[in-house]
Amino acid sequence: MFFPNAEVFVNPALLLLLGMILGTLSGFFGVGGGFLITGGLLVFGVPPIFAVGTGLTLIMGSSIINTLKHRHLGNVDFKLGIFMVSGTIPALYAAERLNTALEAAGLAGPVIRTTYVVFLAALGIFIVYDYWRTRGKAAAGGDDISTASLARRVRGFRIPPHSLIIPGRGRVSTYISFPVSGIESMSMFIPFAVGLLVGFLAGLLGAGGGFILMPILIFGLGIPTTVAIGTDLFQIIVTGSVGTFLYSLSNHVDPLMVIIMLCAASAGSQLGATATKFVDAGRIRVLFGVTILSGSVSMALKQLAEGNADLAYFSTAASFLLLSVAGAICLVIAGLLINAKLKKQ
Amino acid sequence: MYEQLTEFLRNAGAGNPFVWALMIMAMVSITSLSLYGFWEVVLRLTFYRISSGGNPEDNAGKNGQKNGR
Repeated sequence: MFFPNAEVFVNPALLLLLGMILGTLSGFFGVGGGFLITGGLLVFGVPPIFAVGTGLTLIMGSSIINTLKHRHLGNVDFKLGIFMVSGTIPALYAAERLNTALEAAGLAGPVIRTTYVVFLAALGIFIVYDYWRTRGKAAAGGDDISTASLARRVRGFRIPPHSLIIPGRGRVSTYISFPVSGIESMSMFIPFAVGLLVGFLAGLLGAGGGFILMPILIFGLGIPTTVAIGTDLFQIIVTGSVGTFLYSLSNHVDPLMVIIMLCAASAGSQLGATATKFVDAGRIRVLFGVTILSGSVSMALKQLAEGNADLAYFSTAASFLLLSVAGAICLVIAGLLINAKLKKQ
Repeated sequence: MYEQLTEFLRNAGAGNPFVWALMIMAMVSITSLSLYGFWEVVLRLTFYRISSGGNPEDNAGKNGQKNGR
């Protein structure tokens, strides 16, 4: 099938498969899946700039569906999400400025890829290690994350000013409760700072930021895994929309490709989001850790291929590796869901 | 039909970029909401059918109880 905007022929069945994988992983892990979708579209022969623009647009649509689905399951803390988004938007702009400066200096590519590899590897190793360390404790009724005491301390930070004067409402405390996340009181500057950090990293790496935010919410703030997933998706709608708008302005989005993938992603979303209701939170985290570790290996292979013409095939191998792992994880998710439903019956 | 769509997408993309960007965002949002609604209806109907179906003997028992009242 010919796609007029990207000016490329792609088999729609492959797009449907990619959309299904993205929707499932996005609904299950609460991430946009930018690193997966861009790699997949590149393998199908879509020009790089269209792969990024079309991927971001799909992420926006898929996040809308997943956020609605998680809202239905009671997993979205909109209050927390709005405070984070208020930090994300200015940070995205600052990161875009830094990216332009790095681009002018000819450093953008290597800096972004190296940051990606190190960041994804560190996060993946930590999440898998955390699962291995705490799996016995969770079963015994203890804290199910190794950073529970750190999260309690972060939530208890006292950040001035402790109150603000709002016209018409008088003096208002800057410490608020987030009942959906199970937080009785926390300074509103903490989610704002989290939004700033995630927005900056997301803008710098050209991603939605879900893979950064989800671990911060779980391990840094101690928010339940399912609520972290839902709230993360809400945040991705904003980052995805900004990316969609910018790439559409330069006409680097293929809407026909987006619609085809979105149809399959909506079906995958049902599977992924429903599975979070039945699968143990520790298992969700360890599968997420494995996925981002494979993302790190894939990015490292691409970095190796970049500077060496003899190793050019590493780039294709990297995308295949990522797609294979993602496909396998989707099958595991389906298996876990079926297993949990059978046990329930 | 397909040729007309191809032509429209090409021309619209080459026109006013701001309008085109807004149009893409609106189109993706509306499609997402429609797909969410579609799956909600499909899943609800499926669960309704499963819950109203089930074991015929159980249903006969339930109907007997209702008639007894």
